[in-house]
Amino acid sequence: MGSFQGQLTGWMAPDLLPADNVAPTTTLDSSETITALVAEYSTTLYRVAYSVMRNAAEAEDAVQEVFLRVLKHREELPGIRDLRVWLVRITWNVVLDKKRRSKTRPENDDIADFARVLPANDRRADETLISSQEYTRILQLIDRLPRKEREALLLSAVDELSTVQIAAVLGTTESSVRSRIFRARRELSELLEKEGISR
Amino acid sequence: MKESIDFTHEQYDQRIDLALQRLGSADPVPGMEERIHARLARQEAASFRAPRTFSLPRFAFATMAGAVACAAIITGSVSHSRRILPTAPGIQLPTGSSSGLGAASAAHVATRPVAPAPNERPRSMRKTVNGRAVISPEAQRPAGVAVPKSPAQQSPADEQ
Repeated sequence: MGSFQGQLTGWMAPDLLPADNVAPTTTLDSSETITALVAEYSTTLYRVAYSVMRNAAEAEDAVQEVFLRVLKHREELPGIRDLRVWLVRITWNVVLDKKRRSKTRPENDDIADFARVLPANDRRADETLISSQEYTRILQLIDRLPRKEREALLLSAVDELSTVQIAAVLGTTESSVRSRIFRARRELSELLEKEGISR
Repeated sequence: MKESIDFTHEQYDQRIDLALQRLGSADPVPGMEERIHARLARQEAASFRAPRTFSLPRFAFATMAGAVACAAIITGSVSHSRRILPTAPGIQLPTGSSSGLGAASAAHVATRPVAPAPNERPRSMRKTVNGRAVISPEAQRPAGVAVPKSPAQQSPADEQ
């Protein structure tokens, strides 16, 4: 196995590596690598972006920007240990930057976004119990949480990310992430109790 | 009309779970991957079309720009100094494109009127009489200069 191929084995998901008994090549085309990354991680990155932006177009724009950065720094790819964490961290920085710039823009102004996040038919029945008003109200209260707690809570909403990976993205320990999520949920629950919820 | 509902603590937790679940399971608009690839392809094409001149190191560009700026500043400063140079009285030597190698005969008389001397003393007050220079009695003396009388010119009546 070539040296580059050997490095790829370390950081790339197994399903991204060439299957079958194809003779290992010493060089893998970077465009093929990025194509594989898009196929594997674009949805996860979109969800991370959407959790902050709450707007489909802006979330997709952020994901595109992430892959543009990957393209720009493609020579660094062989040195990345955990691609998922690396990509989510880039996405996180991109969306926080975008959010900071578009601070004045109201959130959830796109009615199509509501339709897109509405529960699909194959989801559990209890998911349908939450109304759009409740959903919007909870998101508003999440935005009022302290920054560290809010970031941990938003990343924990993305199923594809484990607590260890969230800790790596936020640059902290796993136990710290757990305590931040716990505090965030407790404060959110108190806010809901204090201010009520309407349906 | 909004209806306020009183939930228990567990129900609030359940609501939070449902909201987070919905937020974290948002699906992108179909065709996102194709749009990403299209944008990446556009970006690559744009980078290939970039002019070759910009492939030079930035340091070289910065150095060249700095040198040009310095030359412009020096040229402008010298030009400005020559333009505001005050004209001295007397014979004006050519200043413009002189190389400094001209002979004395190459001196030119100033085209502009020559200003009077700053000490209020007119020119050409010295006149020669029998080959000796004398000062005309009408010549203006500088103010404030006391000229004592010579004792040799006193008459004998004065001595008595």
